[in-house]
Amino acid sequence: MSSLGGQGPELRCALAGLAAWTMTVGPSAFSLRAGSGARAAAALALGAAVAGPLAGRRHAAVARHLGLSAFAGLAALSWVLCSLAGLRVPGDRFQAILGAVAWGAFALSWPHPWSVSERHMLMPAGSAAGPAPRRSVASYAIAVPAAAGLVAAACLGLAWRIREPSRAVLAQTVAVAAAVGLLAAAGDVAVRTPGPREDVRQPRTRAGLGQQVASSLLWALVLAALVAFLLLTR
Amino acid sequence: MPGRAALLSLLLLAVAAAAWLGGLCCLAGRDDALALALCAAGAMSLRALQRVVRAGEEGVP
Repeated sequence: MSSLGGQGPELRCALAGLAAWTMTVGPSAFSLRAGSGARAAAALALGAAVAGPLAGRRHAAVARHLGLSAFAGLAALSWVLCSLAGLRVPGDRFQAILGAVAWGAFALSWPHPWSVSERHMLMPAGSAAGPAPRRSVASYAIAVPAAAGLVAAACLGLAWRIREPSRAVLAQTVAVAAAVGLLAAAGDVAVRTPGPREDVRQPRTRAGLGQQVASSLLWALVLAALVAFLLLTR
Repeated sequence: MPGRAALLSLLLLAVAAAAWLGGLCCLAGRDDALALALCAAGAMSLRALQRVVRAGEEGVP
């Protein structure tokens, strides 16, 4: 049990991938009507789902490429080949709901986002787990994420107003990206902003906002000018 | 994170939220060019916010 406890995150990722594969990829790929290509892709996806997380601790990049990219890509390939063979993927509505839940669990089981550098991923446990403990939290620490959640819900709701299929897909994609981005950023801001008893007079290495921040703000301003131009010339 | 960076990050978050809501409204109203520009502005605002937060935490890069 102690060895299993030491492999906790890797085991969790492998089990979540296995569950997603069992509920969505396996049944259709190994049915009688499926072709050999779909079966091969499904088998390779299963291997990637299990082998990727288990390679995690020492080879983080390999683990992510295998456990996330290769698994998702091979699963999608298997679905495409099954669909071309005339199989319905997933088979029924209940299976579709279970599959969606399983893929959500798979996504949440991977603890390391792509933005985390290799250096941080190889740090000892706990050192890359977010900001340091705070003495106090800002008074608006809950209000900001709550407001962002409302805006995110509004974005998702707005996307459902579009009925044309091609534009609706685009709108849903934009809405999901906006919702995820807003919620993540709001959580970040709420956690890191200074509380009422926190001394905010921190030593600064240099005055000003910094080159990267200034360039991002400049791009945002350029796009805002473009928006204004489009509004004025419509 | 210093107070000034916190204020700026809140402002950028509000700008991003407004830009994306506006972008989706424009998309619903078939104004694709404006929708694209607004969504891109929202994305860049969040990118700037990310950098402001990082600069506030670690010192100005």
